[in-house]
Amino acid sequence: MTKLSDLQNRIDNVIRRLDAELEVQAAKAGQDIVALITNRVVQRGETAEGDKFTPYSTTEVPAFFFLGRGRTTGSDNAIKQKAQKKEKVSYKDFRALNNLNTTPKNFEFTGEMWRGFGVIEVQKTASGALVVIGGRNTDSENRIKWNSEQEKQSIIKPSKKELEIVTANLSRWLNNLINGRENRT
Amino acid sequence: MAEKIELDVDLASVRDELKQMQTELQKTGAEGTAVFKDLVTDAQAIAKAQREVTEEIEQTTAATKRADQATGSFGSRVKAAILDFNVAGKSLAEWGQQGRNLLSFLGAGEGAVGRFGGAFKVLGNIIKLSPLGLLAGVIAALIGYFTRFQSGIDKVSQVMSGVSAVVNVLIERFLKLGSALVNVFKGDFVAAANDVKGAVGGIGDELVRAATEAAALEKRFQELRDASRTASVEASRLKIELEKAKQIADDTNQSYYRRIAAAQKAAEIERKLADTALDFAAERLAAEQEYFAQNKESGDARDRLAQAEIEFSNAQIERNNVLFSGEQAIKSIRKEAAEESKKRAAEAKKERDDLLKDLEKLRVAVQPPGSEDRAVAEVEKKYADLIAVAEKNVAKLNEIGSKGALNQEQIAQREEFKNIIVALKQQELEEIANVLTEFTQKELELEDARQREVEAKRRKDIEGQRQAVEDIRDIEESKIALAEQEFQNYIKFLRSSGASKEQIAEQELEFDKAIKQRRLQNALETQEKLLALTDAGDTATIEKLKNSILKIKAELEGLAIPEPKQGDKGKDFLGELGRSLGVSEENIDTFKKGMLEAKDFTISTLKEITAARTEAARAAVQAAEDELMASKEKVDSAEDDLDRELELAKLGFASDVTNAQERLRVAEEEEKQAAARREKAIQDQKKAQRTQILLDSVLQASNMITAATNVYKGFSVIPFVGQILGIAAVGLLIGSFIAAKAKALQATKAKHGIQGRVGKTGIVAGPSHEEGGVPLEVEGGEFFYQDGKRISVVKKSATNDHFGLLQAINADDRPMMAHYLRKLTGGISRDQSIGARPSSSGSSGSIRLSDKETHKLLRENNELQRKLLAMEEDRESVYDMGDYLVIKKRGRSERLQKRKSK
Repeated sequence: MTKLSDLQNRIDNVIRRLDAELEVQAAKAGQDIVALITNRVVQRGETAEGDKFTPYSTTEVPAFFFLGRGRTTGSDNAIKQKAQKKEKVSYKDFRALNNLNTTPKNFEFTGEMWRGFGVIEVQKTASGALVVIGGRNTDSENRIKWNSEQEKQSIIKPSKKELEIVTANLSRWLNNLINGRENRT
Repeated sequence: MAEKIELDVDLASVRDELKQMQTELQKTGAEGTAVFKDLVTDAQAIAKAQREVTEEIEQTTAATKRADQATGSFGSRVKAAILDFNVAGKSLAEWGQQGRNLLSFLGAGEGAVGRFGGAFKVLGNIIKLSPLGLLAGVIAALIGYFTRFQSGIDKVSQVMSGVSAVVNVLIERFLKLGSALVNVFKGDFVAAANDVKGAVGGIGDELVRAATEAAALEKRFQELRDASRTASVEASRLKIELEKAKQIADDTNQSYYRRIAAAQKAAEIERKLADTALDFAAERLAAEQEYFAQNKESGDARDRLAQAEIEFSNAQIERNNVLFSGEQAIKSIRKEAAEESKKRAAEAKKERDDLLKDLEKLRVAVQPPGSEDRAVAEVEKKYADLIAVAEKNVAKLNEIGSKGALNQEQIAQREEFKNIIVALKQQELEEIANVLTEFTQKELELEDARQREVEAKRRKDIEGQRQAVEDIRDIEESKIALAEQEFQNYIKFLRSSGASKEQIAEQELEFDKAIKQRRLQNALETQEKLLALTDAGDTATIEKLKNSILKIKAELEGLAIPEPKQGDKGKDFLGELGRSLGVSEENIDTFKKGMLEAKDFTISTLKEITAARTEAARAAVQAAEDELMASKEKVDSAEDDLDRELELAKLGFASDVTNAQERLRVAEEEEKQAAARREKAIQDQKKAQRTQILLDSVLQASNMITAATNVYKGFSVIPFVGQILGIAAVGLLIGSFIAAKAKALQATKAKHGIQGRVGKTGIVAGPSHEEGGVPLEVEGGEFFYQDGKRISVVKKSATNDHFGLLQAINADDRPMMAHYLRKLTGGISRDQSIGARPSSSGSSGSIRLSDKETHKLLRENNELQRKLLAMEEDRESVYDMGDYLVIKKRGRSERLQKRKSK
């Protein structure tokens, strides 16, 4: 039979752990949502609302604009040849020259931006936690900002479903904590 | 760029609840400690009681059976008490009372069994020791806390539901205590203890499960209640909209479209409300089913479940009714709209019929009065009205017949009306036929009149055509007269061009013949046209015209001049030239174009070459003259040196006369050579100038082609022989040009010109340009000078003597002119022979002139200089500025516009 003192101890323990572990759990939730967003945008090229982003530009510019910007020596050489012939290429063509997908748009060229994408800050709040995600370095931050401005929407905005998933995970952790079922998050 | 994500897990409320629970547990713990103190005391009492019970049981073995029966009765009573205890959701006071009554019941049981007071005491202690006792304390504490706050009511309710479930479990377990009690009564305390242990063991988990399920169900009821409240608010709002929509749907002043839309909206709102009610009823039913499952023994639960099922069924029925009534309302409005539409269509049809009737009347009215259509329309209208009256009566009788049988009189009337209709139609046809016949007659009369007018017009037209034929004939005659006039001009031209009398006579003969033939042809064409215009019936005129035509034709045959071929008109000179050279007709245009291009190219090339040669020659002359001038300068310098050496020698100083004389000789030799080269350059320049003259001739020849073309075109207007004459005239023209050119070239060879002469002043005298001018050829060695207006030729000898001066004048080189003047008018004359010899008189050896001579020469020199300056001041300078000339004189300038060449 559960003793009253055990129950009291358990409640004390729950409250204590709640305060101590909430930030950690929120950070986990943030990492979860970063992973979900990255997977959605990079793999499926979908916005938070489930739409597609704008297509890669087909506007042709002088090839020398892309000189030295390829991912490989081969693509750089191809661009160099086009520049010598004074040909024009679009960004979409440039991606194709670099053996990258041309549709849907996934904002990935070198992958630096997505590698720098992560949890920036976690705060406890009255109702739960506030998680701030974005570029963890200046380069990634600038790229996310620039791409979001181009798209006229945040490219790292979480979808409703993604929020539900991480919120549910956090709630599950809370319930397990209260019910004494640990390590089941 | 970052995203802020709020992870809301209602942490604050969880934390608060946990803390509240902790507080309550602390309170409960305090009370529980007190209870446990009692329990320790009670446990000691139990031990003591066990001994007492053992003793009593041993002493009352005989009463065991009765005790067993009593136990059965007691069990029943306890079970009844437990059943009462099982009811959840009672008031808190009832719950507390319920707990207190439990022991009273048990006490009553003790009373019933009499001898078992000790046993009941043991039971009471067991109860106290059991979770039930503990629970009672906890419940009392929790209830005491939560009921202090209104906000805790829901929580209490959930807790109480859980407690109720817990109590149920406890009671079930408590029943197991019954067997423990029996064993106690049997004295088998080991078994009794095991039973107690079995009753208590595992009760914690079961209590938690039961409490959780019950609490969850209560929470479900509460959520249902909350949702119901929210839905009530939403339903109120929707009902307001529903009322508005219904008002619009019922408002007959609104359009059907709007009413149907409103009815659809109302139906939708009602459906939504019914759906919501049905959802709530379904949820309530599900919850009550669960409640019943948890409280199967409860009549209240069963009643609630039954009520929920009724409400669910009612909600379903209500929803179906709502759907049906909504559809009915919409259908009703649509039906109403359809009837309205039908009514309006009928009205529109009536309006159209009325309009057609009006239109029929107006159509009759707008027909021109007295026209056939008007007359027919009037007849048709008259009979249509009458027939309409009859048909109306027939229809009326038919309507009467459709409602009941007609009597004999009515049947007869209907037949009469029908007969009248037939008769009216027959009359209508007859009357229309009469009208048509009448108008046909009128039309025939009009047609006759029209035919007469046409005939008159035709005759008038023929007369006009005759007049036109005669006008054409007169015009042709005028042309022939004009050609005769042109021919006379042509003859004059031939004469002036030097054509022979025989050639002129031949031309006149040919022309007379051609003119005569043209006149006959004109007359023939006129007669033939008049014949074509003459009526076939007018045989006399036809015969007369035919005879006239035959006569003219006979005369034409007598002349035997071939008629011009079609298409000969308009051929030009170059074309004819090409044909005469054997160029095929299809290549004539190419030939003409080539000729013109070749001409342009040749002239252009010749111009360029000649200009270049002339310029080169001019430059060569200029260079030679410069060289000559330089030689003269050297001679002058050498002369000055020689003079100075002579002066030095004369003064007795050392001198270099011999060398000076040698340098002078060399300089003079160079001057002679330079003069020879200048002469050669002048000869070359003259050749270039001659080439220029030849080129001008070519250009004139080119212009001659143009002139010839114009002449050809001019003669081509002369009928029949115009082209032949044109070619002949061009031939004569070109021949005359060539002859004139030959004369001109011959004239240039004349020393003083054929008609002009060079005066003492060097100015040429002779006829003007209009009169042929004065062709000049300058002899070698002569100086030729012109200022745009005048030409001056300096004789060969004078040129030879004063060439330097002439060149200076020509170059407007005043210092050089002064130099020559000095030479001519004085200066110190050198006498080399004298200078080389010392004076024989032993005097100074001066060879100076006398003062008188010197004064004379100086005077002459001054006079000459003055005249020269005066001449220079009066001299006009003319500058060719292209389109105009600028004439400068005494510092004033005038602009003289050139006359444009035609």
